[in-house]
Amino acid sequence: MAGVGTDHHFMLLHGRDPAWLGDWVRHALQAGEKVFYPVHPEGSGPPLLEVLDRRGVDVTAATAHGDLQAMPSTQYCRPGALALAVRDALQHGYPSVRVLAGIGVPLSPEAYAACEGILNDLCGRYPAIVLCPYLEEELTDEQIRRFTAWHPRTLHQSLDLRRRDRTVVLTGQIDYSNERLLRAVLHTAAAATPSALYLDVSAIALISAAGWRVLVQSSLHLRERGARLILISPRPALARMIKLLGLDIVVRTATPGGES
Amino acid sequence: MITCSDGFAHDVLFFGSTDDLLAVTVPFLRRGLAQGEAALVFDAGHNGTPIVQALSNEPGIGRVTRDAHQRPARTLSLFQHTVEEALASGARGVRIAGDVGLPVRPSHWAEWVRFEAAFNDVLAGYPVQAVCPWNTRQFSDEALRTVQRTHPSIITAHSRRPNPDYLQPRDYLSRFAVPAPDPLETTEPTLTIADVTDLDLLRRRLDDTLTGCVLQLEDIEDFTFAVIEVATNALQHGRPPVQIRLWCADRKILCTVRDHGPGFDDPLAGYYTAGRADLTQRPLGLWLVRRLCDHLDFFTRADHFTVRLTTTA
Repeated sequence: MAGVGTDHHFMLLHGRDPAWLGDWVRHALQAGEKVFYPVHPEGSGPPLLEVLDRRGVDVTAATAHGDLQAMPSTQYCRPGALALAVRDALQHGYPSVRVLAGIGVPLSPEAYAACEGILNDLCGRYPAIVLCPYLEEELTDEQIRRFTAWHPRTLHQSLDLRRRDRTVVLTGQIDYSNERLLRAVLHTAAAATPSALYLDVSAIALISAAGWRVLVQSSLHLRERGARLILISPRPALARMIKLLGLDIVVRTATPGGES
Repeated sequence: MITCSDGFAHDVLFFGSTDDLLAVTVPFLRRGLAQGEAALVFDAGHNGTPIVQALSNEPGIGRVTRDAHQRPARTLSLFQHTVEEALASGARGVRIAGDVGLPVRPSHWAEWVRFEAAFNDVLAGYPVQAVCPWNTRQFSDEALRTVQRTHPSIITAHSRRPNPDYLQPRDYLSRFAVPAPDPLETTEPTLTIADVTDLDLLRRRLDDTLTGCVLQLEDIEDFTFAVIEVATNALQHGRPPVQIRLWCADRKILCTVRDHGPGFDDPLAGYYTAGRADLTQRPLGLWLVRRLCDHLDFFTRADHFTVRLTTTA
C-alpha cells in the first residue's frame, strides 16, 4: 500500500474565517474519501460540525454513512491508533483518507514533535492527507518556526511551501500577509543546509516588497556562514525585479540545469 | 569656477546652439578631470551625444548610456549608483553633464521635472556637480520656467549665479506638481473593488482585467506589482475600506487606491534609492512603485487618501 508522501502532512496557518475547513472536508467527501476529525476532551475545540454545515456539508448523512468520523484527539498521538483506523477505512473501499488534526490539549515540545512524527509516518505509509490547522494570530514567531519545522509542507491562504532536502518549493504569492510564515520556513530550511538553500520560485506569481526583504535577510544570514540562497527559475517579471532592486549579487538565480 | 569640494551643485544651462552647449559643458568636464574628479556624460541620444563627440580625445571621460525608455525614478537611481561607484573608485568628486531631451512618452514630462526637483534632495549629500542642458529651441518658455524652479544655480558660458526662482524640492513638488484630475476618472471604471482584503485575490482580478489592455506584457506585469504595493500600504497603514478603481483605456491604464486613513504627505516618498545594504531596513514599497509605473500621485481629499498610478503605452 503506497503512501502519498510526507508532504501530505501539512500545516495550515489560517485566519479567523474557518470557511477553508468546510471546503477542505466537502471536497474530500465529494471525492469519495473518508474524513476523520478530532473531538477533544470536555468538548473543547472549534465548532467543526457547524462550520461544515454552513459550507454545504450534509453532516448527518456523511456521519451516518461513515464517510465522516469523529476520533478522540487523544488517539492522534498514540502510536498505531490512527494507522489502524486508516487501514480499516482503506479495507472498506475508501481510496484515500483525510485526517483533520488538532490535538486540542497542551503537550510538551518533545511530545508534540513525536506526535507530528507519527503523522508524518502515516502519510509516508498510506494514501492519507493530514491537515494541522493553526490560528495565526495566536502564534508567536518562535511557535511558527517550531511548528513549520515539524511539517514538511505549510499552507497559507496565498502561499504553499514544501521543503524537500535543500530545496523549498513555493507556489502562489509572497506578500506581507505571509511574510512571517516565509521567514519561519526559510529559517528552518537554512538551518538544515550547509552550503546552499534552493528556492524553487517557478510557480510564484508575485513577490512584494515585504517578501523581498525576507529573502534578502535570509540570504545575508546564509552568507554570514558561507552559504548561499539560490532562486530557481524566477518568472521574467520577478527576474526584472531582482535586477531593479540590485539583488543579483545578493540573491543568486538559477535554472534547474545550472546556476547563472 | 566651481569645484566638487564646494559640495553639491545642480546647474541649469539654457542653450540655443551646439556651440553654446559645448562652450559650457566641455571646459566644465575638463576642469573636473584636472582636479582628480570623475567626469561623466549621460548620453541618451539627445544633447549628450555632441558632448561625447567633442571630448572623444579625453580618455578620462566616462560615458553613461541609458535606455531612453527608462522611467525618471529609475534614472535617478542610475545617477546615484554611478556616482557611488565613481567615488568608490577613488574619485574626489563627480561632475556630470546631463542629457535632456523631449521625453519618449510625452506624458512623462511631469515626472521628468519632478526628477529634476528630487535630484537636489537625493544627491545633496554627495560631492557632485551637475549641469543640465536644456535646449531653448526645443522646449516652450513655460516649460523652461518650470524647469528653472528645480535648479539652484544657472550657468552660462560667462557666468554662474544663484537662481532666484529656485524652490526647495519639497516646496516645488507640493506647490507645482499637484496632480490634476485625469479625465478617465470621470468615466466608468473597467474594474471596481469596494473593499480589498485579500492581496492574492486582488492580483488575480488585476491579471484578468489587464489582460485585455493594449500595453506590453512587461508594463502590465509591472503595473500589477505596483498596485499590489500600494494596496499593501493601504491595508497595513490606512483605514478600511480599501477601494480600487481601475481604468483600461486605449494605450493607458490608470488605477486609484483609496483608503480612509491620513495617508502620507512627503512628496519625496519613494525617490530615495534603496541600496543593497539598507534594503532590509528602509521602506521599499513606494520605491518600487515609482519604478514600476509611469506616474505616481497621491493626495488627500475630504476623508480619504488616494494614490493614483498610471502607465501609458
